[in-house]
Amino acid sequence: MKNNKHLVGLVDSSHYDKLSDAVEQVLEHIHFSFNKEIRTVAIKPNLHNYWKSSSGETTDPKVVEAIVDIIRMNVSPDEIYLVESDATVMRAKHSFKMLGYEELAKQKNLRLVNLGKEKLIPLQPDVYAHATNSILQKIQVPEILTKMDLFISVPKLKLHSLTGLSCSLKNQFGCIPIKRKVVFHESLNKAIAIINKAITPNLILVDGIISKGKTPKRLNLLMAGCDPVAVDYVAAKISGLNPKKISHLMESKNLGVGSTNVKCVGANWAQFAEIFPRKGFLYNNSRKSLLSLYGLYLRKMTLEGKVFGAKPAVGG
Amino acid sequence: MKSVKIGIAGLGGQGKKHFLNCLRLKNCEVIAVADGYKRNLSRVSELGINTYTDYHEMIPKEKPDAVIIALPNYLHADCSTIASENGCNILLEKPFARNMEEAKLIANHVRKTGIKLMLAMCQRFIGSCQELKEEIDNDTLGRIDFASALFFTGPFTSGKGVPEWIFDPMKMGGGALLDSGCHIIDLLLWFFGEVDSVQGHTESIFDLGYDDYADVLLRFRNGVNALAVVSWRSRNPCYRIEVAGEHSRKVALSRKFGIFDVGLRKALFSFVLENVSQKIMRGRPFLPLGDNIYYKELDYFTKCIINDEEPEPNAIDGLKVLNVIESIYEKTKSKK
Repeated sequence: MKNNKHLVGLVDSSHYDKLSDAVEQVLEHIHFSFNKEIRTVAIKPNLHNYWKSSSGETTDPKVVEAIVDIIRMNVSPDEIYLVESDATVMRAKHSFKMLGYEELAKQKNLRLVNLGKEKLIPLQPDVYAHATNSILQKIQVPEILTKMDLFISVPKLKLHSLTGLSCSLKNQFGCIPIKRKVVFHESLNKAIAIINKAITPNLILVDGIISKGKTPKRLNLLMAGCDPVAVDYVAAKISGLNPKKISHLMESKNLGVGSTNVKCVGANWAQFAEIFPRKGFLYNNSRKSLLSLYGLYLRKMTLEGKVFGAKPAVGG
Repeated sequence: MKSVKIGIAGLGGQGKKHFLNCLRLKNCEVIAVADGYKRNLSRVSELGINTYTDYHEMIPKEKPDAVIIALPNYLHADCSTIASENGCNILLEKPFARNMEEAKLIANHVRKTGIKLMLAMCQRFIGSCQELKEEIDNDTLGRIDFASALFFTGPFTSGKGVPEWIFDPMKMGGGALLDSGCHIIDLLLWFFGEVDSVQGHTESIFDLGYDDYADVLLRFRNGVNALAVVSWRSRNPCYRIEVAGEHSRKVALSRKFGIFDVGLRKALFSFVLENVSQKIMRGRPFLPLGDNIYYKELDYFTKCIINDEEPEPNAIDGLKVLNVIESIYEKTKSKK
């Protein structure tokens, strides 16, 4: 597997007839090549509640389908697994069915895996050393993911109420096979960093076709990289967030998961940042409203003669 | 009878709301609660209320004046039968039953035993819907040609946990049309009376073995045409009833039922006032904000029992609603 970790590829998928062509192009940007000896592959989409990908919250099965096609074109793995675990308000088996992954698995001969039902192993000693409290020390990882020849994370680019950004690092949090993941919420940033240190994906393919910011919006963005920290750094820039203020990103960087030394290849990230539906008063409609309020104020001042002199007298 | 002794079967989302409202109401007293999850029961038993893990045990032993049935759809018929055989009045959560067969079974038991059964169609207690009903009855809108009812909300879009039985089509008996559609069809039947003809269709994109979208066109005997649309797909909840009359057009809206029903300021004021007084005077737990319609519903039900009046909607109203729903399911099946 040859890769350049600092590279992050971006493409505008609307420029391609087929999604698989866009995925192929973005992998080319980061000089990603498949090792011919790959036998097992795990793909981790981001499934959140039972919301379709058009909500900007879950990975589009078409993106997963495209990467599966590309894998099969390049190598002949014995098994491709689609993995996800149960969450506080979501059960993986229902999500697979309702969001179109069960159908995809049938068509493409994939194996759906609920990580909560797999054998778990404790954190490696070097990672465990970073678990600073009893909650973090409870983190276990599914053994199946540690044995994969290739682990691909296919996150959704979106904003998150607790972490600010949800992209590749946050997607890995879904690999912790505990239903009530809320127990980690008080140490969420550290937990994300630890799980990323324990299981680092070999390839990240970000589904930014429809992204959720303030509202869902079509960005037609596909982004790829081999370093989750680098990918999230660019994702933060696109989302209008300061990467240095995203705690789980900085925690992961400090833990040595990856680097923020990034080189973007392909489309310009700024073109996506321009249309990303940012949160906050100063963006989108709020900004327009503020400007129009300022316009009204100026108009009032003009009419009162405070800007361009006194208003001419009306009548005689 | 001064106070109605109540047993609650099922302490899920709806059961908890009814339970808390029972604590608020002066004319009722919860004497027992049955729920399969012991964790739910532990907090109830702290209040000195008898708890059971099975309603089969609770109802014959406690013989309450009324049973609130807030169980999964597939248990409605069974629990109603036991309650009516033990002479308990019933407040039954929607839908009435999974199908007409079960609904007729419940209705027959109610008729034979002479108990009172009220369907928990809480939307009849939304202030704007009650005003609309009054205007229709008083004929102040003039001749009504058209009405529409939109109800977009569902278990999968709320972002809350979904009980496992909801994923089982056998336990559900139907999808959006049965589970949510029963509300708006009940309202339309309440407004306009007997139905002349029914058309409609259902769709499913979630592939769960039942519908997640349905539209229904009802023609009433009084000449009103009404369209009802229900969807479990939209993440933006919508509740809108519109009636177009000869003189004016009237809309009933509700987003957060309780709060928008009485107005935010009034709701907050009554919430603070009632909770603080309840907490100080009786040491009772704090209540959630915005459950006003459930409170009104339970108040009406208990008053009907105390005054020996027939509550509405009753089993016959439930049969009418279910008849409409089942005819649409049958038509959709025959098209396929």
